[in-house]
Amino acid sequence: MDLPEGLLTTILKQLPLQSKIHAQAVCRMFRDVLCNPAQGSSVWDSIHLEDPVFEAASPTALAGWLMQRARGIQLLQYTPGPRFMGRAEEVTTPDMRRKQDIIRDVVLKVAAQLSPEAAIEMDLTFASAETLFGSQEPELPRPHKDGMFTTYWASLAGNLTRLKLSFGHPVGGATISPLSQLTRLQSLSLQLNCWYADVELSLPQLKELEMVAVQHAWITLRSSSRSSGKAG
Amino acid sequence: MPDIVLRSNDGADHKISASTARLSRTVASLLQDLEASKGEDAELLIVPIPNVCNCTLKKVLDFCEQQRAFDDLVRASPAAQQPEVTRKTQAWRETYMKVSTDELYHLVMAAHYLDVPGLLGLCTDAMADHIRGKSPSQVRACFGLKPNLSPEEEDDIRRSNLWALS
Repeated sequence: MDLPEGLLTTILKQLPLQSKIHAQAVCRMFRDVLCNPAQGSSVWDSIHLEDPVFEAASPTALAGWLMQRARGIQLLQYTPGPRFMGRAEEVTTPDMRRKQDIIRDVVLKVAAQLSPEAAIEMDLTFASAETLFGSQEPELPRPHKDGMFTTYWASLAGNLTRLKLSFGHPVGGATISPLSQLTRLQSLSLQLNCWYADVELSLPQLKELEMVAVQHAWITLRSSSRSSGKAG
Repeated sequence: MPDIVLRSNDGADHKISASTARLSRTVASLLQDLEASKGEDAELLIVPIPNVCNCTLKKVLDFCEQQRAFDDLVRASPAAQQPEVTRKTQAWRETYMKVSTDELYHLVMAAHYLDVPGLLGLCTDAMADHIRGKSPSQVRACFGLKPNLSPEEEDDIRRSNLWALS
């Protein structure tokens, strides 16, 4: 099998990060495209960080490798596993939580080094909307009160082009209005898995989406309690 | 413009409509040149395709004809039926792409040479699927590739990517 370099570049470009790394060791034809890409080649400009990478990598080593390439990355896709970054006490052991924190920091550091034109796509699952956007409940300690968006992600506002958020449950005290800061957002997907939340309570929040400059928005409400109100 | 004939490198002729043939940018460009030199009323045009064998050319033309049929269907269908058309298109493409690795290789080379964007995208997706999640030796076995990296080159790759290969 012998493929033209341009064609092989198109194929290899589609692979997730770890498959690209493995492909370098397949043969010289693959290595030449991946290790010595031709001038203007785009094989490494799109990097998809997903579960297997986090499983395999030491976060520090992964961070170092990514930082070296950050300037060439034009599209960073970030898809952590289910319930990633959920509240520690609800969904993760302390050790998992520590690793998740490190990986989150890796992503944020790399993202901060991307060129202004680079796009970031994120696909995230949270235990609750509070975790992301904060809560108005006065008794909550920081950072729960501020929320991760306020603390970290506002700095990515100019790069985020696609955002998919899934929540275990929306919380009445949380607000999604910070989404209006995402000036480059082209696609937004919100999924609320409302096992016990009162859907009526969340609808006013969803209406705030009108503030967001989006070209397409898909809102999926998957509720087992639409007709029965609070079922918990 | 009348129908045209595409001739494979082993001499088999395939008569198709010019509009279907134009899904190949390479053929479209050739037809443009031929029309300029002979005029639109020329007799049946025979276009040689020197890099593609009969079997693969037939498969490429199956795609082009189906693609045109789907395009026509999309234009003719009301908005409410579009999801169904899309579902049918995807189902047909899944069946179409059930080919051996060897056939896939010839198909991707033909799609590249004939410059059929829709087919090329399908083929490169399928090639990537064959590589995704596999070890280097599994990829070599899949595509019949021989390991030809020197021990020094393999060491270099390993050292540069310890975090991922350990």
